[in-house]
Amino acid sequence: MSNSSTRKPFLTKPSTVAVLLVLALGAWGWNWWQMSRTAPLRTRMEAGQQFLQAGNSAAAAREWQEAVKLAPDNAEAWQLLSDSYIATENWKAALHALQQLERLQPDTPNLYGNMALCATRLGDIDAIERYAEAEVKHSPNNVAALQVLLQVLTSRGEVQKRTRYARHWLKLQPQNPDALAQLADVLVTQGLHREALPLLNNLLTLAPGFAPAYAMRGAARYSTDSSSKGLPLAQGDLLKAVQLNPSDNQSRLTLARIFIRKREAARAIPHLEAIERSADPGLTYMVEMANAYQQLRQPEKAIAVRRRFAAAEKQGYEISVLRSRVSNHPDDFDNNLKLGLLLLQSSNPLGVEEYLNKARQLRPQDPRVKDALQQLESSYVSHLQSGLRALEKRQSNEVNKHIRKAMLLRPNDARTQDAVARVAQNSGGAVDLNQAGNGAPAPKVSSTPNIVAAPNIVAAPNASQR
Amino acid sequence: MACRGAVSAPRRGNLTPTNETSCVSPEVNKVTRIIPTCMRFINSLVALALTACLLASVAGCTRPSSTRTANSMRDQASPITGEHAGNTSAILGAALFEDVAAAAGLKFRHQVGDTGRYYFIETTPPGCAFFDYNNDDYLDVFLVQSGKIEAQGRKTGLHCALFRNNRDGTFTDVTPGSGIDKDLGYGQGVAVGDYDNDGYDDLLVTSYKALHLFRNSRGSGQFQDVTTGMGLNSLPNLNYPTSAAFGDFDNDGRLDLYVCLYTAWSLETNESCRNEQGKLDYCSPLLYEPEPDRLFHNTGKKFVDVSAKAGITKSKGRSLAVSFLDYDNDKRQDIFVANDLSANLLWRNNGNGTFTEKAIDAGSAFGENGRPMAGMGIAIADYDHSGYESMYVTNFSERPNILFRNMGSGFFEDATATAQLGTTHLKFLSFGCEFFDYDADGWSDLITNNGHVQAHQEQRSPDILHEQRKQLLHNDGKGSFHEIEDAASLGDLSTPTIGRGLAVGDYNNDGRIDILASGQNVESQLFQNRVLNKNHWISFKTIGTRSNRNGLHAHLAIKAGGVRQTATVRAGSSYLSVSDRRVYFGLGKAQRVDEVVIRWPSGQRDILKNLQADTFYTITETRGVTKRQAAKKTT
Repeated sequence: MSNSSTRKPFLTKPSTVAVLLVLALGAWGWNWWQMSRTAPLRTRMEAGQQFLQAGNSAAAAREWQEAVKLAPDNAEAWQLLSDSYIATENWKAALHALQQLERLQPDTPNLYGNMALCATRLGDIDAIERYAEAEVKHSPNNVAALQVLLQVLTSRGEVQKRTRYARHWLKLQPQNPDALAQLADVLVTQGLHREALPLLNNLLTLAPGFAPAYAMRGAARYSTDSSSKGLPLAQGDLLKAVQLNPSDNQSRLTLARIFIRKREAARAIPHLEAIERSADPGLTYMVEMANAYQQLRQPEKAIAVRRRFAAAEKQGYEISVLRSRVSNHPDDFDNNLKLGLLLLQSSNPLGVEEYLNKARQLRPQDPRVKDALQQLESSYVSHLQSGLRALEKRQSNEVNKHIRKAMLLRPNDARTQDAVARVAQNSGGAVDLNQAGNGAPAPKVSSTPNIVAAPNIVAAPNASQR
Repeated sequence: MACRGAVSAPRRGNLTPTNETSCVSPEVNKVTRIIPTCMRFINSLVALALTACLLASVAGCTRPSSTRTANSMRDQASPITGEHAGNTSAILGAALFEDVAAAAGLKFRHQVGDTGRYYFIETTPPGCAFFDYNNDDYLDVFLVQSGKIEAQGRKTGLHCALFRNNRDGTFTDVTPGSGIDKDLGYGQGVAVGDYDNDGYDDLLVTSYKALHLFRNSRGSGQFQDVTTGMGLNSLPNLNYPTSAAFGDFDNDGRLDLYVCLYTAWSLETNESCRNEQGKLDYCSPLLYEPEPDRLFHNTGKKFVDVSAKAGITKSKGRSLAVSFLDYDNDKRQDIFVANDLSANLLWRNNGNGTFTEKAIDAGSAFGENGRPMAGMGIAIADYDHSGYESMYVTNFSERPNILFRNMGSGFFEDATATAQLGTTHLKFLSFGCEFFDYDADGWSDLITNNGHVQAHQEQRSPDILHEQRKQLLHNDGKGSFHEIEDAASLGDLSTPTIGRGLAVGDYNNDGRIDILASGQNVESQLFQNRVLNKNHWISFKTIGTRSNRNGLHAHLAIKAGGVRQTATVRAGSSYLSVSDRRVYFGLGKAQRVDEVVIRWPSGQRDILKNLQADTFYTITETRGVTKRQAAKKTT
């Protein structure tokens, strides 16, 4: 055997050639398969883009719906689809698409912001908070997301988190009046008046016409310094707050308390009477009115007011008792019905629809429930119509009174939402459906803890410009 | 201002607002232009206004109550007539109060019997009493026991306890063989009064569905159960008695009895409730109907239920505390009742055996902002030297205890804020409370015993604890009270417990008022007053001859150092508890009392002149001082 036997080059070996050929074929086949698989996806996605550019969001959405069917794990497709849903205001579908995108690509910029937007439109407060907070965590400097989160937290009466995020916002924008107002508000809510006072001083330098800041500073001064030097300062702030916003019942109430404390009850009476005339006077003013009359040595008037108060309070007490019982026994027909009927007669019928519907669910044929629901509907319609008529006549107090009542009677009714929208559009800001009554421990920038009130907070600079 | 505007079709992940009326500040707008997506949030608020927000706006969402703690004001406090304790003990670095219960042999642990089933009745006990059962002029102690409510009617071996004062700062448990050493059921409170005018204080214990009246066998240490004989056995519709007080409403010289009834709760009607976290916890009292209180007239032979005849059944509330007082100075004993989640009651004595409810008219029915209080305990004193007795009523956490200042014309004003009491209490849930001049500066201070009712309270609000320290509030003599918060000064008062009953009295006769406190599942506490200032004082024990033997309702007015003070002899206040009946006046720097005018319920007026301070006096109606005793040195 010769060592010189010639060896064929590796690449010329038939077996090698065959293997390479097979590999090449495989690669080509894979590529072909991939191309054939994704071609429709690309086509769909590109078609969607073209439709979008042509302004046809609905058609674009259809293309991207097909695209996600073809490629359920394609993040880009879900993102395009979510955008198209948002454009067409299909919030539920948009949120679903964004949730898929979160699964696939949680770091997508503005992902949680868009999810919060959808949740907002869907009225899901829990989700708004969750997503807005996630957005803030992803983008700590995102002020708008911070604002939304703060508004939700305000609406929920959440204090700890709200304080933390308000401090964060103020750190980002130390001279922003909105941020100052937000933090001052939450501090006042907690009775942290001493910490709130310098913020309010700063806020009033930046926004000298901002009534809620005077209201808050007056309340803070009243709480922190009731000396003969402190009371006039609080009084001055509260008078300014009332001058700027005559419907600020809370400031009027605190003013009345200051006058009573200064043994100047006669000066308290006009403020208490103004509260009495307002759309939502609450009951607390009566307590101070009785005190004022007592100080003025008019015991008969004091007793009369106290008796009126006690009668009104009794109804509130009975409602509290029934609410407590229904909460513990939700399927108790009698208590649901009693509570519904009592709320129908009450000045604050919140929840009446819920309790009467529950009673109907428990005993659909009971004539008392039918009657009560009819009463509810007729009362609702009456208030709604009166409110809308008053809107046409630009009688803001009447609008406030009746539409608020309608809101309490049927908060979720489409007619209510329509009416509220009309009020927002047509009242030119003259009507604030969120104007609180009184009885709250401290005045707020946003007078009622709900998300609608939030624009009032961010409106502070504009208010100052006026 | 509302935000309006259309929103354009979104670009990918980048929603740009167009045609918007900005509702944010220019500065914010700069930021939002950088992150335009989020502007949609702001616009969306308007949409939300049409939907979910309506719910929120009308829901009357409860704003979080302020949970602030007032800054300590003790540095600002200044004595009017003498040294404030803070100027002395604090400088010395000493605690104002020290719990000496164990060292004094006052060993008693209350058992609330919590079974995990959260029986509503477990929220309220126990009470305690300072009283002198053997007339040796040293305060003895009575402590109420509860046990397991499910064990009703079965022998548990648990019983209340009576401790005799050994006059040397220690106590001996004299319960065994006393007649009190028996199971009284689920004990709540105690009342003390010499109902039979034999000169020895008798005991009434309230418990589940029962009253127990024990006649004191002339100070021998034996007590005879006379419940049945005196007509107080098996009373119908008496489910849940709490506080009780003796008083002579018809001024016939015999002590009558007022009994608070909390609710119609019974073992059979106990509800099961869960808290926000879904955990079983105690239910709201609102689930149980209130029951009208009971007024029993002492005929000399029996206690006769005159509730209906007297008009007491016309109004009802969830009653937890009661006190007799003459709020309108018409020389008739009226009755104030603190109610839980219902308007307080003020029974004005019509002078003919009937009462008219006047709390609403008089301005003492409701708490802050006109809300029904969670009224737990009552303290009464002429705290502002006005000559009229004002009332301090304890309340739930996140709400202020209320100071009803007596205006002297049959009206009260809510002086809580004026007296700087609006914010001191918000983290506490108070039960027992008393006015007492702990530093003898001549101004009545306040003490409250605190503890929450919700077992899982910390989960609801981490700042408000289930076990809480006591609160000591110093009267600055200018109409305000300032809390002494620092632990060094509070001493053992800062130990947290689930506090309930509270009584005050000078158990060691050293001229400084001490505190007895009871709580749930905790050893009873005896806080010895360690104030070391040089202020003077005077104390009066009353013995009626024409009036009731205890001299209850006798009105004392003293003049000392140019200052006039008044007080009334009382046998019931605080919560489920009884304090030292002797009337104590701090005198500040005054070493003598120029004049004492005693107005007895019988109408008799006795006037005493030029009395030496720092002395215990016994005054007998028409006879003046019949005994005097100097203070013991503080050990």
